[in-house]
Amino acid sequence: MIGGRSLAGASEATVAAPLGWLASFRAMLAWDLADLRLQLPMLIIVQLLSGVGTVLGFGLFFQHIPERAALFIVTGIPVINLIVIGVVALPQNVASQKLSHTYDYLVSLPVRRTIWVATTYVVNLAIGLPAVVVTLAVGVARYHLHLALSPEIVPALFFVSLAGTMLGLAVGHGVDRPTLTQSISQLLVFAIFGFCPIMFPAAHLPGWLAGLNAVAPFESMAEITRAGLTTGMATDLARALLVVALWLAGSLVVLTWTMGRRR
Amino acid sequence: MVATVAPALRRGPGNWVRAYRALIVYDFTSLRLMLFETAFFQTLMGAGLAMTYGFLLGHLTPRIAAYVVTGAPTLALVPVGLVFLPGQVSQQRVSGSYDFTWSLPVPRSAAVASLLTLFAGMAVPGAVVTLVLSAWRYRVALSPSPSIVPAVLLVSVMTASLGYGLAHLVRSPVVVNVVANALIFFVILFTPIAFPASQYPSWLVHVQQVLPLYPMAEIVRSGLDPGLVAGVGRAYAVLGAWTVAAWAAVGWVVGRRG
Repeated sequence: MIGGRSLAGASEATVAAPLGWLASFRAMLAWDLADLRLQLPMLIIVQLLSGVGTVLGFGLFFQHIPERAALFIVTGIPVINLIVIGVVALPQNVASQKLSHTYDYLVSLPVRRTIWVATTYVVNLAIGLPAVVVTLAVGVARYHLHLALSPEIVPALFFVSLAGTMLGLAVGHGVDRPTLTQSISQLLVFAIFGFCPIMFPAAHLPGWLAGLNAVAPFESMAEITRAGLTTGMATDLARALLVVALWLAGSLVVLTWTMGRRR
Repeated sequence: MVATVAPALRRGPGNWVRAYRALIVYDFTSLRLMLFETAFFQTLMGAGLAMTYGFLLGHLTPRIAAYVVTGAPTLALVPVGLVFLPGQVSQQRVSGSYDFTWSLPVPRSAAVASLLTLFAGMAVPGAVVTLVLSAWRYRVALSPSPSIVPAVLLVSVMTASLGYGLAHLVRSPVVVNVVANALIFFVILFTPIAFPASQYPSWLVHVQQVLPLYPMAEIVRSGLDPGLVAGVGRAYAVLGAWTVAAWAAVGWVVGRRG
């Protein structure tokens, strides 16, 4: 008895059944989109403008840009569009959540971790894909290029975006110190833009740096994307797929361990 | 009853100089940890971009290499004033330490001068390291002249003044961050700092000639290799005008109450 009332009726109280995976995914996606409702249009526009600006601006570095160099730039920037969101913006977002103490609240929500990952991935695609399409179109028009689009470009873009998202989540959740996460993501921006052969051939790099990039995921991501956009420029697609798959698997392991541990 | 005597109001140039010196020590002490981070990212941007151009182009002709090397210090100087300083002021506003500094019994102009001096000075070592690394990477022999000293000082003071004005004109730290990053994007991609202006559309060059960024690159370049620059006097005039305008804007924002 509590407060004069019998608890016998409590056994008759209905307890809502837990939502299925799909229903939870829809609910979490609605939550994420509501949370980002003011920022999402701005993020999409920023990605669009940075992609278009980069594809136009990089051409100004050449006296007369060779067609092959233009192809590398135009087919490389979409990769940067996709991976910068996942590998750079996402860890910074998680770090901000940790600094503002909303991270602990989000982790405490009764949502499966796989749903959290899935909604993050969908949101990243929503931000990155429009920029990919527009950047390619502007680049092709500006440099008078002819791309050899193949159906493989669709799974390639989804795969690259997934790998970028998983990498970003692993960094964001795996690194405990938010300030360190922010520093890592800022360094990654420099590395991706300037020292990874995404917008230029690996042959332009010193041997040691080319070797490092051969095992890092970014060059391989570019190779996978370029295979779906051109003919003959992606020379080792199988190795690239294996490298990215290994990094994706490793990120999954890190993420599973960090999100599953008690704090 | 005890008669109270109000303390004499301190004023005059002597007071200003004392306040400025004290504030330099105060600001340096509070920002000393930021010095290394600033120098690191500054060098990363300047020297990093210089290396990136080489990877992107594959092969640099001696003339283009000279442009890249003489443009790299400007690429290292600009972020300190346009990104780090506004970021620091925004952080101080959010944490409340900005209001504390503003409440100190010192002339506001001394507080402004102290911060501008510190950030302008902070930018120089990173720019020197950038220049050394870039010149070594591309094996470019430079012909520095004494004019490099006032050129670097003018560029660092100018960018610090612009950044300070931006941080005070825009209240929201998020908007300050967005504007600062957009400026850096514009600097790297559409300003002929590391490449000859002849590679850019003529309409863009005309626009850049009245904005402060291209003249910054010109005066620094002329101090390192005078043969690459024609008409540096015009660049100094444009940059001087922008500096005066930036100081006028700063004077207006710090002079208003609230």
